[in-house]
Amino acid sequence: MVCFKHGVELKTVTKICTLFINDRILNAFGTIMPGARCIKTTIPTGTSICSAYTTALIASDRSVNLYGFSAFPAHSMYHNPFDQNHAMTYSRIMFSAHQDIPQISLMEILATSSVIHSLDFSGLEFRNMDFSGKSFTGCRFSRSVFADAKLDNCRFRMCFFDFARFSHCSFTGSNIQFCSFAGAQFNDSTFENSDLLHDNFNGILSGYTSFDDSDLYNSRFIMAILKDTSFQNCNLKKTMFFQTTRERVSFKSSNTREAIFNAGEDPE
Amino acid sequence: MKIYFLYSPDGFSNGYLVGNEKTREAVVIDPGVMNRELLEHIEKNHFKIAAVLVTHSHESHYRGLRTLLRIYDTKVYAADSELADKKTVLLQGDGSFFAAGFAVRYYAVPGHSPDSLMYQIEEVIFTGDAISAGRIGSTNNVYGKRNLLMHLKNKLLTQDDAVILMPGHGPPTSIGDERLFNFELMQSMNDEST
Repeated sequence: MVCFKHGVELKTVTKICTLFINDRILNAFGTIMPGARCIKTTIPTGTSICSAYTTALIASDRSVNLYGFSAFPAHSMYHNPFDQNHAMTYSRIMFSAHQDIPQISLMEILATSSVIHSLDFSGLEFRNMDFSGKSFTGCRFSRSVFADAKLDNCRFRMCFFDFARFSHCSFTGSNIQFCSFAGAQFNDSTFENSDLLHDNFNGILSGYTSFDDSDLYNSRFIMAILKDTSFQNCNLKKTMFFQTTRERVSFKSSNTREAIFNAGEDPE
Repeated sequence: MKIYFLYSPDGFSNGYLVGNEKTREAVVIDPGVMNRELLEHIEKNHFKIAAVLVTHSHESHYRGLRTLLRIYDTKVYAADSELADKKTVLLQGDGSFFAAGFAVRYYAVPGHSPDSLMYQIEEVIFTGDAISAGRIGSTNNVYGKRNLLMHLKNKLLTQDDAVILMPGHGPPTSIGDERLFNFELMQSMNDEST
């Protein structure tokens, strides 16, 4: 097996194929460590090849035999939402009390920054505010109050909205992944046409709220109380609805067969 | 501390890269997948991988370990003495160790599997399959379930509500959320109080 461990002296060069690496073309590449196992794998064209240092793409227009690299088929990147420029982060700052930062400064940061990292907005009130298009990573909004707030086309990663209250709020077209809304209350709000992957909606109280045309892959609504809530034309693959109380909830045109309900329960 | 979430579509499992921005070291927790994103996170942040922490020896939680170890020479911590043909640093019971400049606490939580561990770094607990948002880990029998619930109550619910839980499957949660919205956990608490 080719080894990329730092500081290891390379011993033998084996010609493999033409690879583009860091804008250079290397015809001979790959090294087999003494005593290491050599593997032979057929890699389809277009597959990404990884080393510890860089990423290469097979340049030829055909499948090639490749020795000693780790190759990852394109599907392995599916639903991996975290690109290199927007890594999901968590920081201690996020959970430190924000009394050090005056509320007015937090509001100013919100108003003036388009990318916001690791800030704690817990307990604050946001009325008639427009956060559209902003990116939030590792922020905390626990027990915050959002009224008539616009959060369209926002990006949220690893943000916590536990026990927050949303009234007449719009998250249309947002991309919200690996976030928690546990225990939150939604009234007359919309998440339409959003990516809501790996999100925690356990215990939410939702009324007159729409999740239509959204991707809810791997999200959870355990013990949620859903009234007049709509999940039309949604991807519900691996979405959990255990122990939910539902009144006038519509799943029209959604793949409820791939969702997880209580045994024997009819989604509608 | 920086945490990167890695989702494995093969085992539907979560893995994490926890980086220390001061020491430029990092630990990988449950490498269910080893892909380009993880490598890029490691390399572009110039992290040195100080340890791999495995919560339990189900393949979906360490499928990427072999590949990871071909690239990085690092210690593997687990409650199983060998994983992916690699001798591990064997952890038993509860305790702590230092890795990547972090004080890592570990808790044995058998039930889902005999070798299940949770790792705590600062205010974040990586629970593996012991508990996830709204659910406790699956068990094979009543004894296993009782054992798991007992450990969760003693080791998890004794902590602050604000402590974040990063599970092996599904979305993130917190101890406060699980107290209120984890049906099985609530049921067992009620049974105990009556």
